[in-house]
Amino acid sequence: MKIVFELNGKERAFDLSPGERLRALLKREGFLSARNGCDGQGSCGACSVRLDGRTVNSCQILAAQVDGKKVQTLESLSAHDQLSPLQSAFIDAGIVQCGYCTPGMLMAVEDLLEREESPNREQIKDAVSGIFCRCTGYEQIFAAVDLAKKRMVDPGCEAKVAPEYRPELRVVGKSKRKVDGVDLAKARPAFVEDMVRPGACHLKVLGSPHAHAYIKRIDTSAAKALDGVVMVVTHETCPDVYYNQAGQGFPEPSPYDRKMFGSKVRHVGDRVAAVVAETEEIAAKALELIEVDYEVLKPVLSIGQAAAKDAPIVHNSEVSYVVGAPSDLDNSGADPRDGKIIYQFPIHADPRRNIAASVSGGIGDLEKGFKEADVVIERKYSSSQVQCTPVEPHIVYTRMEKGRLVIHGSTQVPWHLRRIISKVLGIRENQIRVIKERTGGAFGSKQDMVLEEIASFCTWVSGRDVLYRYTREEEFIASRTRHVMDVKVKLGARKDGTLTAVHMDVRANTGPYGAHCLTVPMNACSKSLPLFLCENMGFDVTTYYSNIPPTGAYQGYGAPKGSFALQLAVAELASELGMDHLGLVEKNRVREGSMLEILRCLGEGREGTPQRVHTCGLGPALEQGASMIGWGKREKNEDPDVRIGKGFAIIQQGSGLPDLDQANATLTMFGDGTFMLLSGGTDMGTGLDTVTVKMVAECLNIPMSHVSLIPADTDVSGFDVGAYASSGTFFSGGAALNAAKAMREKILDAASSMLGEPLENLEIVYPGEVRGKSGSVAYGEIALDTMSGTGRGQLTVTRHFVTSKASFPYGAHFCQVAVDTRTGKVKIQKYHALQDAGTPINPELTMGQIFGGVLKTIGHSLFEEMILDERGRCQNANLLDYRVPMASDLPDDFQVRLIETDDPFGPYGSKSVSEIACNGAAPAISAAIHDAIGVWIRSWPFTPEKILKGLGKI
Amino acid sequence: MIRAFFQPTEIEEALRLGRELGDFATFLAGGTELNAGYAPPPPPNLISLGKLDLGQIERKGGLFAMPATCTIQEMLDASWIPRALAEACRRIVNRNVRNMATIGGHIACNKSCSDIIPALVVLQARMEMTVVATGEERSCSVMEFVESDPPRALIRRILVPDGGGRRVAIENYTRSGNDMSILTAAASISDEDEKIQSPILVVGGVAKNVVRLETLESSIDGGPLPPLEEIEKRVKENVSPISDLRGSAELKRHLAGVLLARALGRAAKGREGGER
Repeated sequence: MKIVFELNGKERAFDLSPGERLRALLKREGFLSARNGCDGQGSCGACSVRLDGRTVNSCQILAAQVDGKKVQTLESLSAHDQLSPLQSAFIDAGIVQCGYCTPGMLMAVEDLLEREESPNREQIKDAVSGIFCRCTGYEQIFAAVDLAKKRMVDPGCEAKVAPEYRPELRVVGKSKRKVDGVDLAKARPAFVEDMVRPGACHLKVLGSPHAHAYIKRIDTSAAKALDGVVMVVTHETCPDVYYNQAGQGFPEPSPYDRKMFGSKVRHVGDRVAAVVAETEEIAAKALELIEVDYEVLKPVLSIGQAAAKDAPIVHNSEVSYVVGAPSDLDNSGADPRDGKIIYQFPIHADPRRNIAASVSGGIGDLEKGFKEADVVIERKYSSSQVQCTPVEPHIVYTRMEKGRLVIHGSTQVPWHLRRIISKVLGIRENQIRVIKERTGGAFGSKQDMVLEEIASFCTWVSGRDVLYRYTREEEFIASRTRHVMDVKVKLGARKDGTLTAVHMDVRANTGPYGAHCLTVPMNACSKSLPLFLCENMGFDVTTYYSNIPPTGAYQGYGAPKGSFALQLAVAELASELGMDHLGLVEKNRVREGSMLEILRCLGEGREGTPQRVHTCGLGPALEQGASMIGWGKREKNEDPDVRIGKGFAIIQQGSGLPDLDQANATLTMFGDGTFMLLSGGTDMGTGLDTVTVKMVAECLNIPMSHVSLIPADTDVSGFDVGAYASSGTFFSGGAALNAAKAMREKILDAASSMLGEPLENLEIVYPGEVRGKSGSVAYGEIALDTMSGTGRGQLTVTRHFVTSKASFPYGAHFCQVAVDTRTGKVKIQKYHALQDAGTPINPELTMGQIFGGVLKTIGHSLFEEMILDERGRCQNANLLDYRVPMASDLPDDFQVRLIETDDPFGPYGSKSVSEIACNGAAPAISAAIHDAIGVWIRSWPFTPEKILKGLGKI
Repeated sequence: MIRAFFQPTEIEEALRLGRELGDFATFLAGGTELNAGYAPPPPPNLISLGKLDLGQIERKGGLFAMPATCTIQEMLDASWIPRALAEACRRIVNRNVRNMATIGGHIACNKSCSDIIPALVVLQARMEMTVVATGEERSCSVMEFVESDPPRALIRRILVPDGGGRRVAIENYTRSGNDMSILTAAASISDEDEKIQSPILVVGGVAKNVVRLETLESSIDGGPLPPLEEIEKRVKENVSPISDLRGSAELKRHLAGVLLARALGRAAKGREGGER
């Protein structure tokens, strides 16, 4: 059919099929701004456009419905080289992180500002109520709107949206425009989906309907015969290579316990077959033609079921070790259909008992410690399965170029990806190029190779361009989720509150494969125990295989669940002791100068190293937080059904992995004295690219605009482990700074020759000039000299960053809740996050990450939960039924305060910030609920059922 | 698969298409349900109501009249609609959805946990529609439409009595800000004296459709406001929700009692949110 409508001010006619969605039409017409995060459910708003002035979901509207109407997309907001006041305000206020939802947000606020000249907080929340953002926590949008209004009057109005730090520095510690912000706010090509060439094939995977089954027979002949099908892959035709999808440094602690396709399926949605076809519709049709006979097995869905004596074995596999095989290794009874497990080194697994990994350790004498205690408590805390829910689902686009495989990935780990795909495909690393495009949110889920190896294999075999994108349902059932955990905490203390013994017993459910099965549950201990100073500490960690949807890395990496358990146990201990919770924490908490002996036994698959705490902002965080929330003051409420309570938690994380992580950067001076930085840093939207550019600009005393950046392209930049373990600022930023320092030396050396002055006479001054006593030379002059026929050669340096030192970010989160005692509803009235991030390099983005981490975990604490039926099928694999936090879930009073410390090891005194914010919400909210109604809720989410049962109402 | 999209400009044309295409067609209003990714595949022919002139939203002749194609946001933008109805509309928190979803489509979907239907019922709203098969014009209360199995019809207008002399209050319960309501409750009483007169008590989320608790209404009609604990207890005795992923039957029964008692209490006392 033919329709005519006004598109961005111009009347356009289109031929379309009657069922085509408006989003699809816009996409095929080249409008990139209408993104897709929910497959047409209308629950994410990433596809928002304005229809006759009103913001709508273009995925929920048939294109035919807009006949005769006016449609406006983000592309209409500004000309090629300009930003509208709203676009610039969004970037400068820090509300643009990954940028996938940004077009939708912008359209919604544009709509608002045409309706309301001076919108209030509630009107702004209402305007963006349909847009899902997982990164930012929405809070800074209020500042963005305020700034936009000012810029509508005064286009040059400067942003003052965050505090500034380190006055002696020019760009570090200051809010400067995010280097990728303009592209994201204008919806320029940035994401994998924007890179796909016409004619690319589509890959779809047939997922298992069973949680646990053997594939007895599979017949793909009808699918292969379908016109337009390029290839079909099954366990019979895929590479016979075992690997793990976890993007970790080699040798990985995660077991190699899977092939691309197995003859056993271990979760609903597990791979059965892949089809590559010339259209998405043909691929879907071909999947329907594949015949599969299963031998269905009893699924294992919980830690208890996995640990039972007669439990079905999830991996009854043949086991081998690269090093350290135990002398009693016995493979008798292994079922060949289960395949193999290869351990790089022992992780104390026992797959016949469904144990994927285990570890124990401690310091001091626990028994003695508990004997010395006047009070001993033991509590169990449990948690549900929550999903990372990046707005952009997993996606990869693969193609061949000059005989090499090119992978356009939305990944956190380009180099690990290249290494693992090299192994799986049996090709050399120099035959593979991974280009990390902008990631539309990741949060740990894209630390693993969830779909890239299938697309890569298909392209390598067929030579065809292949696009593989998860549906939202696949994102839930076949991507990554947070490990389910039960954590028992035993605490001993003297009457005065002194801790005498602390023990954590962590039981984790890793699901069907062992990605991060050792390290995530260990992190529940290693980011919790060191917060307290106690001579006697111990832990036991046991991780089980099961048939739930896959788990893996998720922002916080086990720490949120360990933190929930230990922090809440300490709150319960305070209650048992009759002490003020804050007083008990103050008595026992870590502080500057503390030596963390417990870290000796908390290495990642090897012996760890005790670390001294060089900087710790916990003291001021607790002091300021208590003052802000009115700690100790009982709040009154007029509604007799509602009780108000307060709670808090102290938190920590790391800054990358000392002695494990590495980052590289190369810096080259161009002919006019500007620079190209090649960084391995993998920006997930957090602002890492801005960090690395700032490192160079600050060190070389030049404007940020004089530094161009090519990040995370394995053909171009040097090795970087990737963005995980809160390593970005510390490691990738550190590498950029090291490169800049080396460049500075080269510049001074060259200037010394040119000016004929000794080095000690020279100083580098802004904007890119070396000044001596006799004169000065600009960087451009140095470039011309070094690149001349008699020059010393173009100035270029490559440096890396490694460290054996640990820098711990700390924080204290306080909250105030109102609990409706008749409905069990919990309202977060106040949430104050006070965090020590060392020197905040990008203050506005630092705050945004904290807001985002907190809101995410408020969701986890109160309502997010994957619900499986008795057969392991997820009942709520969509954003609406799963429930993700939207602007309507914002606390009434939501604040972030940055506690400045000057870390001796991080670049310009920085520490990480990306994960720690996820560790405070659950324990702080639960403690506040107890303060309000006297009920301890020890499992998240804190459902109304649990609260009402605790109150004896149901 | 959608094969044809019709955009009639006259009601008669829409009805004719509906008659001719029968079960192979459906009316399409805003499309937020029919076009949603989770919805069952629609029939192959869609008859869009987008170009029909069903009138304007207006306050006239003692009635608030809303064309069926009026969006939820347009209702909210009409600042004079009854406060309880506006409150109900706002509970569809997602503005993008409110901008497309229509009141006619919302009622036609007849969801158990509708946020708006309970408000319309206690406000004694009526509907005008044309039966597709016969062309017959019909009028019925929203409650009659909801609880019956109406013939296939084109909903034309929703009419809410203006100044009906009733006190109204609504309640709902969600787990998160944008969540669909797990439970909805609404109550209205005649605004005559201190006694409960002609109460209408409605609960959503406890049965296939929104339900009216007529036995309970009769038992309190004409008397003073009973203790709310008593109302809560009797509501719980009169509903039979099922457990599903949105909540256990136990929770829903409890919430039904609490929320309806609250709504009645608010309506009776004219507390904030009550509508005169």
